Amino acid sequence: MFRRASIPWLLAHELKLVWRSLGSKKTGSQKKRRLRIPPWLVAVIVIALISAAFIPAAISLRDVEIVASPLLVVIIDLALALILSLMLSQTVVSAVDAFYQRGDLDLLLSSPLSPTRILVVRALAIAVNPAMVFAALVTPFLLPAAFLGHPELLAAYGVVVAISLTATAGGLALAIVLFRLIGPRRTRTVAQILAAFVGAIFVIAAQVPNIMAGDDREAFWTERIYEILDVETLPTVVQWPAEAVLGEPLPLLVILGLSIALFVIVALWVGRHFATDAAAANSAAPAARKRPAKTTARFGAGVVSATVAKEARLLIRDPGLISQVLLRVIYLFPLAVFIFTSGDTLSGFAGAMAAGSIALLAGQLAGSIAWITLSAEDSPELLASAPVPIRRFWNAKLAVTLVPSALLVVPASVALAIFAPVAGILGLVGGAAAAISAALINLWLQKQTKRAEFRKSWSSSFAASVLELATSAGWAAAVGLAVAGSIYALAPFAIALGVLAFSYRSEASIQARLTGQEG
Amino acid sequence: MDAMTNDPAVRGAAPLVLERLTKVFNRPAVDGLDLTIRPGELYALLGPNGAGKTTTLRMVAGLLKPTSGSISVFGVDAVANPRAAKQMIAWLPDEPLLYDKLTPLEYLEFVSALWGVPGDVAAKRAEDLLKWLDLWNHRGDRCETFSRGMKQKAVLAGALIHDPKLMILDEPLTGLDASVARQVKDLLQERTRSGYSVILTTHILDVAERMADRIGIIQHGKLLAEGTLGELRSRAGSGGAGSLEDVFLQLVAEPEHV
Repeated sequence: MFRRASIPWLLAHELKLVWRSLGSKKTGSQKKRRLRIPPWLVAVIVIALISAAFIPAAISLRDVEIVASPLLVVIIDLALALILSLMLSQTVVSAVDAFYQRGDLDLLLSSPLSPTRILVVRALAIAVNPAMVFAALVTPFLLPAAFLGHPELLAAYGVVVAISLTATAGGLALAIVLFRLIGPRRTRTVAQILAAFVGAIFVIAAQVPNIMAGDDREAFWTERIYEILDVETLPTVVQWPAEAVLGEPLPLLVILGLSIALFVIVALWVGRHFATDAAAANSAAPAARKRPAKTTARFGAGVVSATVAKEARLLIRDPGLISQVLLRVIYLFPLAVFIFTSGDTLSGFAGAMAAGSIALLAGQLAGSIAWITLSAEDSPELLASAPVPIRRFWNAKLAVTLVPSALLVVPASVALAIFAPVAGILGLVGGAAAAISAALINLWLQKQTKRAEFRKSWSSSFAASVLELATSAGWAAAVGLAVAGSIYALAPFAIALGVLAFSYRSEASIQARLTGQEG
Repeated sequence: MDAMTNDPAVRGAAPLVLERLTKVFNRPAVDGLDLTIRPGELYALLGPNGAGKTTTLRMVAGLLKPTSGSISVFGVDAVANPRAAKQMIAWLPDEPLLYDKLTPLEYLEFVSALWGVPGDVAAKRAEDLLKWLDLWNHRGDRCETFSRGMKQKAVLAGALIHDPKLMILDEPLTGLDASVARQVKDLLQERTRSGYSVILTTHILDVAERMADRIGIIQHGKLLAEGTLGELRSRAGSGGAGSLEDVFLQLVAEPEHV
């Protein structure tokens, strides 16, 4: 279809690899493989179901004229800024990976293709990933409205593409600046930590009013809304992104044009030195430690304590994981500020939100670490060939998994309990339940993956991620509703238990799946 | 190293006996394999790609469950009692799978705990092994900084820390430079001289020819031929001459020789 070795041809090749990686993995028998539902199909079904739920809302909007009022413009712009920050946190890491990745990069760079062309294709592939994710996320809200009277809203997909290209250009630029400033050895680590901060920056910024005292906080948002309502016309730079989303042709074309131009300029700039930088990245030895090497060891420990020590060392020494934990801590920071600045005014709805958030965060943190300790085992055959029941390793790994969650949940719950005792206690119980549930789901649905792959957890353990989120959300909702004194807390409680029951696998079944002997 | 022959638990029993061993995935990967390793023997299992060599070794190491048949390690039924069998075995895969963020000393600390080696014994063995494998000066460096050969040596040290009575090695020399390969070969010969047993797979037929006491050739999961190089030459009808490569190619091309 495309000329061989052209940019579209190379991009099609990249996307084919991505597409195939979303398909079912090679495990078990042929019969089993045919029955396995690929993750992308699950995503399509979920999107279709959520879209169907929004059809009544779309019908009610059918005859309503959508006007770009100042308030709507600001809301849309804030949403776009949030999407940009989240995309940027993803593209920074992907852009740095493009330099370090081996795979087929050696083949491509050893071919007569120009490094710039290879970089442009890699950059486009980086852009496609977040564009697809966010297009999928907005589809359930957008598509019913577009088909039921507001086709101009389809322009939002164009804006998603523009943001994705901009975020990719930003990610590439940041990657190359880090390369130049701190060298290839440290770029990867710093980029991961930077990505965590970029992803959370919007959330932190949104919490600034929470740092204010109670009355000022209440007034902050009211005053801002009134200010916006008083504005007759907003500056073009504020107005156009929202108008582009609402289908205005000129703003859409300008935004798309600018994002394409930015992408091309950055890709050409980075592409000129791509081959040299990639070679430097791959020849750079891991950063030397400043502390003297530890040349003693503690022999004679039991299996569990040796496994705990090993897992703890691997976690602490993994900068990628540290950035993930930092991200969770950053998200918890606004919650902590909210609790402390609320003081004795904290009650009812706010207490319920805080307790629910603790449960949700605990579940997400435990889930992330559990996936790394259980599935990302670099030497599974060593453990399998050892004369130790595999359950003992799992218990040790679960213990390591739950410690960071406990370090976050306990102080947050105690702080909450000072102001709202019931919310604090339920936050602690819910946090523990969510963390244990997420860890168990990752134990039951574990896969063997290299630790270096942990950042791709969403694709490597899709089912575990979805179920882990469902159970964490279930515990969070149950805790929140219980704090509010609602009998409806029983419903999410039942959902969380149901998800756990659905996820349960016996030890024999887990081992059979891990060794590819699932019948 | 401990004198294996003084161990009453294993004295007299064959290190490894496979009887009618079968493993079926979508098709039989190992098909009714009978094989016996003698004490102090280095046995080379050869065969074309996909012949079932690695599957066989993975079953012996307890990584795969046989579909049928039996595995006996020093008289212990490895299928019914895998933990007791694993206690006497070391498994060395073809890829040196290490924890990149651990130092070799920390790696040995972990592995020795898995096999329950007493602390003082493990510390002494770790020092001896790392010195012998030229890794002592790197004992505090993380394995992520190691070359493939250094990683392979660290994994080898891990395999030896519990003084295994039977070593199972899958392509142990792949990707190693001449000096590391020489160290590994010396080690294996020293082990067998001390009465320990080794079974390995290799595509480097020259190594099998010079080191192995007996050679087994499998194809399609079945044992085509087994014996010393001289016995294999006779079976191949090469009149007592020809290299192992010649014999191997002839046997694999003409399975009716069995």
